[in-house]
Amino acid sequence: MSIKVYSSIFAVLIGSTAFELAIIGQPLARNVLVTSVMGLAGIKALLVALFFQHLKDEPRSVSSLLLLGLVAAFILLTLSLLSIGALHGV
Amino acid sequence: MSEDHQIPPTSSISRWLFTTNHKDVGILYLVTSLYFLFLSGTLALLLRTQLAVPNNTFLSSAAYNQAFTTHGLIMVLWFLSPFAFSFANYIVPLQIGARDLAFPRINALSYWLYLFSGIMLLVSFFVGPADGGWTVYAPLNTARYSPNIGLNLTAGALVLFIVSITISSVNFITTILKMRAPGMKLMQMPMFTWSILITVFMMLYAFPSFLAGVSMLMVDRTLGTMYFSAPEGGSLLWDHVFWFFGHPEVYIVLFPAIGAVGDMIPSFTRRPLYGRKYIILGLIIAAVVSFMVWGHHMFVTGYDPLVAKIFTLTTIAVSLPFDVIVVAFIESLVRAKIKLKTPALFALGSIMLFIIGGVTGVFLGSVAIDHHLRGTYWVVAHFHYVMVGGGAVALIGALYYWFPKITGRMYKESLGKLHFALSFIGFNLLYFPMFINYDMPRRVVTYAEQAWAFNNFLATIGAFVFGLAQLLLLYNLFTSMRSGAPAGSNPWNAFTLEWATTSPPPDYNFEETPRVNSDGTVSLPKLTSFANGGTPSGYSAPHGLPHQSHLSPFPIILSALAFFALFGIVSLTFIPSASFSAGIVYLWIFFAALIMGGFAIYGFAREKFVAPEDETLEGWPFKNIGRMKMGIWTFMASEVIFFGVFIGAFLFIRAGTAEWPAIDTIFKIQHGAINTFILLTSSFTAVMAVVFSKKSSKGGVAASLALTLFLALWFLYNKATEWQELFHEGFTLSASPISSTYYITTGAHGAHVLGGIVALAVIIGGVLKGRYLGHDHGTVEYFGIYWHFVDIVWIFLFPLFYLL
Amino acid sequence: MVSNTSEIFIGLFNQFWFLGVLVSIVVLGLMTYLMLRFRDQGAKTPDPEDAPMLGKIPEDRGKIKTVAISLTLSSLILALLLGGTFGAIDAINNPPQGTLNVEVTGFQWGWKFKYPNNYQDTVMTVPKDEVVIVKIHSDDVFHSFGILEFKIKKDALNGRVNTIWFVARDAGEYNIVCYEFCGLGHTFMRTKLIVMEPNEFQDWYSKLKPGEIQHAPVQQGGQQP
Repeated sequence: MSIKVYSSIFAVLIGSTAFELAIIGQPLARNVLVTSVMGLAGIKALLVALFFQHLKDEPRSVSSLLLLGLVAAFILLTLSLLSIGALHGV
Repeated sequence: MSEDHQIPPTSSISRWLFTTNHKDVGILYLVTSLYFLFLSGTLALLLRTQLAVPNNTFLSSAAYNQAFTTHGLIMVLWFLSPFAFSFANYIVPLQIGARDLAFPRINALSYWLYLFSGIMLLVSFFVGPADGGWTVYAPLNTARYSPNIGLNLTAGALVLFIVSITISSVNFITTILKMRAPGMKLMQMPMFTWSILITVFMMLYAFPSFLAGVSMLMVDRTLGTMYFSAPEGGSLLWDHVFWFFGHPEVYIVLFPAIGAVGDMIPSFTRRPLYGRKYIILGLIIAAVVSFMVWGHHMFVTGYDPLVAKIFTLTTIAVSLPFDVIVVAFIESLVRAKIKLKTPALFALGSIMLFIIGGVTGVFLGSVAIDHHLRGTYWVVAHFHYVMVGGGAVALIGALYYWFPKITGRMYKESLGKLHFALSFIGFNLLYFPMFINYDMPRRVVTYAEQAWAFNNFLATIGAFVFGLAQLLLLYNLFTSMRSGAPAGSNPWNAFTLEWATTSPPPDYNFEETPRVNSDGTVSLPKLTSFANGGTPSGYSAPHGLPHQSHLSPFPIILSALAFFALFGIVSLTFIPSASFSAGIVYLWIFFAALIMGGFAIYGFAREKFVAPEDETLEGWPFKNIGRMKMGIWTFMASEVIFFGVFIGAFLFIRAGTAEWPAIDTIFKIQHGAINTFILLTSSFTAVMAVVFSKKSSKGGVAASLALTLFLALWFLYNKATEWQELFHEGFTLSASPISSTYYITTGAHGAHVLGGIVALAVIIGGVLKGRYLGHDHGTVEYFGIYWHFVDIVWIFLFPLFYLL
Repeated sequence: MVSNTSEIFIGLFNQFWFLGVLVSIVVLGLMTYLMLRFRDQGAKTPDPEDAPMLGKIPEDRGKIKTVAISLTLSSLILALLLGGTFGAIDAINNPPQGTLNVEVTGFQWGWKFKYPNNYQDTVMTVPKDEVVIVKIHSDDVFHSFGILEFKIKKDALNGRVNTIWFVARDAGEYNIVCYEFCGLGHTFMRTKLIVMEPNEFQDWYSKLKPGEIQHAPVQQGGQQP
């Protein structure tokens, strides 16, 4: 990949971080805020993984390994939080 | 040393200390795990002696608690898996036609870490053993309720053990998926290899959760954080983190046994395994579902009833794939020619015991029934039927099965059959009465109820029959090792590839690489026979084979240093209530081991060790990726869980905390934001380093990496000043669950940054000497993969702590 | 039956036990039969045609039909058990209007019981044939409050209040046991549940003085008696 691609990804990362900081101050509903900030973080992480870690050029089996890990962590998170009633009303 | 073409003979000590050959490592695992079996079995006999009659006073409460805790820890962790992995080490590379594991030195490192972790556990046993059960429930496990150094050492032992397991799973995943004999499709792999593949995947995803839990326990106990002492996290947090690991762990110890049975059945029934692909599918499905059933260990904690129903459903559903597996095994017997040799008896006997274990497990999967059976001897009986009956018994069969391959000699058949008969009778006499005693609470030192007395007495008799019968195994193997009849290369007339070479196999395994043809036939290597039926050790590889190293001093050195570093750190404590002292000597031990460890890692990295990568090997689905890179990515998958659990623990505690500080009050956005920009930039410079490295621009690589190093140091500096400010405001580690999660989560991340800094320093040094350029750009790229991961973790930590 | 909870448990347990024993006998019996029927009897047993041998990876065999039949059968059995379980757990989890609330606190090592009139005791006393609601809590580590003969238990955790309920059917003395390992005194963290006739209970309860402790405090330290 070219330096140009890396630079534009880098610009997007910086920009979206700035955007995160900008929306924090806004009078938004809590769940809108959480969703958008975590969503932005997810997009940033995905960009780093796909382009900087070159996941998009690796065999799909490699990303599957990581995806499985993410899914496992997600299951733990969801069911454990559900079990103490923390996700009620979300 | 690694330049040597000749491995020292088996009689030489240095061979056993420095070997990296998978077969030697397998034997080391075998001997060590058997040692732990007999040690822990002795503890079990003490327990059973105490319980033989009501109101017995043979053991004190304290001694009894220590004995069952150590018994459980050893049997589940230090015996079962390592025992299975002695075969995985020895047999799996042979079964897939490989010459060694993907990373032979890492494999030796796994063994030595395992051994040293076991030593640390034994040390803890003698200085004040852990006594909270192998499940070490919170908050009994905190310094307040268990102020003994022994539990710290046990936690340290667990850390070493988990590291050993994790690198070992990376090694096996890479080996099995990338180093199969040319033409060998995944579905053509032997059952044992399949089961090990699925097992190491479960290990990869389950153990990091335990590592995270044990790390939290260690900081709770040494630094005074509050993960498990505050009600916000406490009992339920430990339960979730522990059992999320703990349930897959049951299958981790079970699956290799099922796989071994799957290999033994065709050999002794003289027919191919029935429904092989359904068995494999069943194992995969069970492995996946095993990560969704952990809540059945928590049915009576009073958590959400809907979640309890979900866990009931998943738990009962997970019995279905096992149903398929067992039915296929039984169906395999139809119209077969069953040779009831000792391994076959153990394998078939194990299936029977596993059926009873499985049926009684369905009871425990029911949330309603669990409202009485939880914490009773029903549970004890059930999991012993599964783990001893389904697991250990089958693996003992595997030991008989592969003993001729490993030693080149046959065991004594009649003695083996006697061993089986006594084991099978003793086993059922030991554990079945426990089902009948389903009212009796487990982990009690004694009981007054006469109604429980008879069954307990029977169980104790059974325990001694079962336990003493194992001495026959030792006797049989020890005598046969020297004087047994020569076994020849394939005594069972089996079809898997480990039988296509001599017994024992030469260091390089095969004269030429076996090849699987498209019609399922296998082009076998020619067999060189030796006068005594075996192979002389150190026999140099036949002409044309690429040179392969088999010796390295670094695995044992690194493991010993890791042992001392952990020994130092867990012995230190800053909690006044703990009864052991914060001796400066521990700090010295820690630092000395750490510094020497740095040199050892450098030596390890610079050692000339040849483990040739053969492009002709079958590598689907990782064909187009190098072995090293694949290993790194696999390791990263375990890191995802590790940090996932830390973040999960943070959210769990946060959900239980009524008042969370408003944003920008304690955690200043400015601090987090600056560090975010710094890390993002460092990722950019790290990726630029790869670009320059590919272009062989020495200056460019050096400059980009130096910039990355500078940014990483700057990040840590900011972190340090921020922490210092917070400390001055009284926001210390032990101030609240809030502060605990903050320091430890960002601290775990910071430690990863520090690790990156060390790696950077080494790599920059190499670049300045002209290494890691052009075709050799891999190292820079691997560093990048790690570094970007550290960046990604921070991308999530920043909003979680600072913005929301 | 001594309580509604033991009725629920034994009813459900018997279902599981019956089906479990049935399945085990059929499967283990079949396996033993096959092992004997097809054992190697030398020349009398022909070599199977598809005998695996070195140099050839055997063809897969096995019909999806067998898998499907066994899966369907076990699914049916499991569905039956699942239905029973869900019915039972709803009964266990949803107490009707209670007539007596008792707060129980586990500690290292013993149980404290607190009644609505603030009377405290180390022995639990309840009337028979009435709904008793027990709120369970721990002062320190993880315990589990179980009434042995009533076949019901729930964990006692610090920072959480868990609930069980029961209706005792027979007057008498029963055993309260800690079912989660809680340290040195775990074994001896036991006390009695006394079930009285309702009028006898009323009589006993009305004579209590708030804040009083009738039975001797549980001995701390947890050594063997």
